[in-house]
Order: sequence, then structure tokens, then C-alpha cells
Amino acid sequence: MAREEATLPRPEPTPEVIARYGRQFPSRPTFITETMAKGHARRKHAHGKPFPGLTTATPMPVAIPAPVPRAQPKIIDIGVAPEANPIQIEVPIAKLPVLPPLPLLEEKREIVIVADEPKAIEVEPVTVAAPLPTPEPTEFREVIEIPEVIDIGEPTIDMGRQIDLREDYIEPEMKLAESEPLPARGPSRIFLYSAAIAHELGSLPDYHEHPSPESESLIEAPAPVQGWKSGMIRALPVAAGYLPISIAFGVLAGISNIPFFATLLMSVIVYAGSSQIIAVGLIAAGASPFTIIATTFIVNLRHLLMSASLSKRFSGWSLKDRILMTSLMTDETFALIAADSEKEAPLRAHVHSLNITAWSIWIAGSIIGFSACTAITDPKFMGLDFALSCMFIALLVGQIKTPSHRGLAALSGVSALLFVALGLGHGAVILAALVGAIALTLREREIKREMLRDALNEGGIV
Amino acid sequence: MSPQTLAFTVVMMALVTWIPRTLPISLLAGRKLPEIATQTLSHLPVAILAALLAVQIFAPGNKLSLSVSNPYIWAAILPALIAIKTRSLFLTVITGVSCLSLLRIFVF
Repeated sequence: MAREEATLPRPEPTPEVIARYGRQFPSRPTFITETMAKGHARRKHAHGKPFPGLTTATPMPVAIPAPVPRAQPKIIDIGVAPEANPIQIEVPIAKLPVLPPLPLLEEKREIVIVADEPKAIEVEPVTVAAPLPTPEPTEFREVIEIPEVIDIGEPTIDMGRQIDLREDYIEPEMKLAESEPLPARGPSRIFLYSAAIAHELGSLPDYHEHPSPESESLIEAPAPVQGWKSGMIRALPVAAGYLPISIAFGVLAGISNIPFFATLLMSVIVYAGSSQIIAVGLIAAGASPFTIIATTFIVNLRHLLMSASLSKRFSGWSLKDRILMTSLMTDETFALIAADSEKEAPLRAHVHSLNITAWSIWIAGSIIGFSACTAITDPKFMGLDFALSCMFIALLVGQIKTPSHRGLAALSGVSALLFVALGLGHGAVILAALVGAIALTLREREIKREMLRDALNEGGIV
Repeated sequence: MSPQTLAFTVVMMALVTWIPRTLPISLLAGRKLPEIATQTLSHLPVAILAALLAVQIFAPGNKLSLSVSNPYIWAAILPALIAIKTRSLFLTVITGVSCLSLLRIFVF
């Protein structure tokens, strides 16, 4: 029996494993010790994703009877039992998990063959390991024995289905893991260490996703029970910040003798605060259309980075929804949406109503400002030009959750000022954001490598 | 500038704003990017906010102004403390706007 298992094909490392550890990762699954298994189980619980390639095996080196490789069941003619002699079938299926019906169900139903008379069918002894619903080591050692001779009474499609399920549920890695002896010393053991450490460290950036609870209160999204309503409520602070700015824009357009249609059109289809105010200044100064368009492009190019940074979180959305969302994306709505989608993409209604609310306020404010431009002549009236900066302060404070974020914010801010001083103008924000984000990424990877090296130098963690 | 030219300019402004907004999320979503790229992208929100804020406060009008006569620096102190303490967007904005208008009336 042991020889049979030794000939089982060894699975290739999954693409996930290769992507994470490179080709040098041992191509065969190996044992991990009890400590590591516990640690893995804990991490698996914490992160909800299993470590690919390693299994949560029992403490080793206890020899566990490995499950017999599953035998292919014969094609079974299922007869109909007469009412006088119903034959019961007892299959110990209690341990099997309840699963949604398979799509194959319909086809299976069609291939049931109705025989003329009931018959006893010999089935080859099939021994299958129970599925592994939890990482508890005792669970998968239970073996379901199906009796040698099964009298089949009422034909049920469940029979075939359960066999299918069991086949699906036996992980090939697990079989091999149980039959592999624990490598005592040597390179494979080092691989084990490095794999475990790498996995430990691989979750390093994940702490961003698990911030301490006290640091979340500002950015915590309201429960999206009613998507439209929660989105509108979420947009209220942005709207409060937009109103003075858009009024300032309207006033500026009014006193610069920009026609009303152009002012409104700009707020509706451009919808980007700073570039609109700059464009009004340029139009009033008599700049050429090309200058205005090019400046707008440069000023708003930062949205490229925002859109890219949201792409992973919203990959489950349809293209139409993604385009709709980012068409109305500004610095402020981006900050809110990025905060709301930190764990998972929020409801579509929430995001769209957030965007539309902020957009409507922006348009309304421009109209109000344009109409009132004779009354208010100073756009710096009442310090309202500072509202958006204050909103950024609050949003930034809410986004900073770790010391590394603090460093990232400081680096990006200082480099932005440096780039401004160097005369890069509106490209400064884009460059500074890239510098900060790339620097932190490289630093995190360096830390990861250092920790891995230190752990290996100390001779392992077990 | 004639109304036709103005309308054309505004439409082109909208186009060059819309394309950078929608293009990345249309092309990138659902693709598997290398880990270094996703890691960098995940840091971008904080980096963008910090860079925008630094320019608005320390370089208003894109001119570096690190002197004591820059009212935005003084006006940003209290809202920053309020934001750290209360984490309320409304309170922060109200404090900041009041601070700046008071500073403009009495100091600058």
C-alpha cells in the first residue's frame, strides 16, 4: 500500500506558490512541524487564506495510515426495488458537508437506467477519506467504509453525487503529506523554514487591512444597508467642503466675465475643482485653448494614479459601473471611496449616490456663486478657500493607520514641496505621490528580506 | 475667446480629465499585476493626499511659502489637532475655516 502511494504523481507548485516564492520553492509538499502547523492554522484563521503548498498536518513523525487511493466505482445500473422488498442503503455520509447542488445534477438524472428487476450490485470496496472541513487534524483521519456488497433500493442520484464530492474534496497534497517522512536535516528542511518564514512575512503588508479598531472611527463607512441613503450621508462632509469652493469658482467665473453656459458646462463635464479655477484664470488672462487644455490635463493627471489604485478593489464590478464611478471621481470622493473599499468593494448604490451627491453640490455651488458674484467679490471670503484643505487634513489623519503610513505621508509631502520648489508646478503632486509609494514599497520588501535572512541565520524558528 | 472656441475648450478639458480618470480602472481591473505594483498602488491613496495637502498649505498657488507670514500654516494647526482627537470631518472643516477667517481679520 505504501508503495502505491509512493507512485502517486506529485503535484506541481501552484502558480500562487511560484508567484510568491519563486521557482526554488520545493516542488513537493512537505511536512511542517506542530508549531508551524499551529502558527499556520492561526494565520489561516486571521487572514482567511490558506498557505498554498503546505498542509496543516498532525504532529509528526507519527505514522498515520494513509487513505487508500480511491478506486473508480463501476458504472452502476440502478434498479427499482419492488415495494414488497425495499432494500435500504446506508452510506455513512453524516460527515460529508452539505454542499450546493452540482450543475451536473440534471445530466446525472438522465443516465439512471431502470432495470426490470431489482438486483444486488457488487461494488468494489471504496475507501475514501472524509473531507476536511476544518483544519483540525482529527477530522481527516476518519475513514468511511462502504460495505463490500451494497443492495441498492430506491435509485437515488445522491449516490453518484456523493462519490463525486469526495473526489473533489481529497486534496492531493494531503495524501502525499501523510506518506512523506519528515526530512530530518538538509536542504529540504531549510526550504521548510524559509517557506514558513516567508509566509509569516508574506502577510506583513496585510496589517494595513487589519488596523487597530480605535484608528478607524473617522473613515469607517456607514453600514451600507440602504446604499443610496448611506452614500448621500457619506457625501455630506464632501458636499459641505464643495459648497464654498464651488461658490468661489462661480464667483471667480462671474467676475472674470466668463459666460454662464461655459461656467455651468465646466462644472458639469470637467468637474475638477483646482483645474476649473486655474482654467478660469487662464481664460480671463487670454490664454490659448491649447494652453488651457494642456494645463488641465497636467493638473488632473493625478486621477490616473487614483483610478489605478482603485482598480484591484473594484475588479468585481462591471466595466460600466467602474467607468461611471471614476468619471465622477475627484480627490475628495476618491479619498472616501478608497476608505470605504478598504475591506471589500462597497455597494454600487452607495458609491454612485456618493458621487452624484457631491457632483450635484458642486454644480449647485457654481450656479450660486455665479449668480452672487456681484455680492461677493473676494473668493477668499470668510476663509472658505481653506475648507478643502481641512477636509484633506481629516481624511489623511483617518488614512494613517501605521507608523509606516506616517513616514509615507511625510515623505510624499516633503517631496511635493521639493518638486514645487524645483519648479515642477502641477506635476509635483503626481511625482511626490509616486516617490512616496514606491519608496515605502521598496522599504517593506527590504524589511521582509532582512527578517527572512535573520531568521535563517539563527537556524530556523522551530 | 468666441463662445464656440470656449465651448470647444471646455469639452476638450473634460475629455483630457475624463481619460486619466477612467482609463486605468478600465484596463487594470481584473488583471493580475505583479506584487510590487499592487503594493505600490495600495500606498498611493495616502501618498496622494499627503502631497496634495502639503502643496495646499505650504505652497499655496504653487509658490513655496515656508514663512511665518503664511496664514495657512497657522490655520492648519488647530484643525489637525481636532482631526487627530475627534476624527470628525465636519468639526475639522469648521475649525479650519473659522481659524483662517479669524487670522485674516485679526492678524494678517
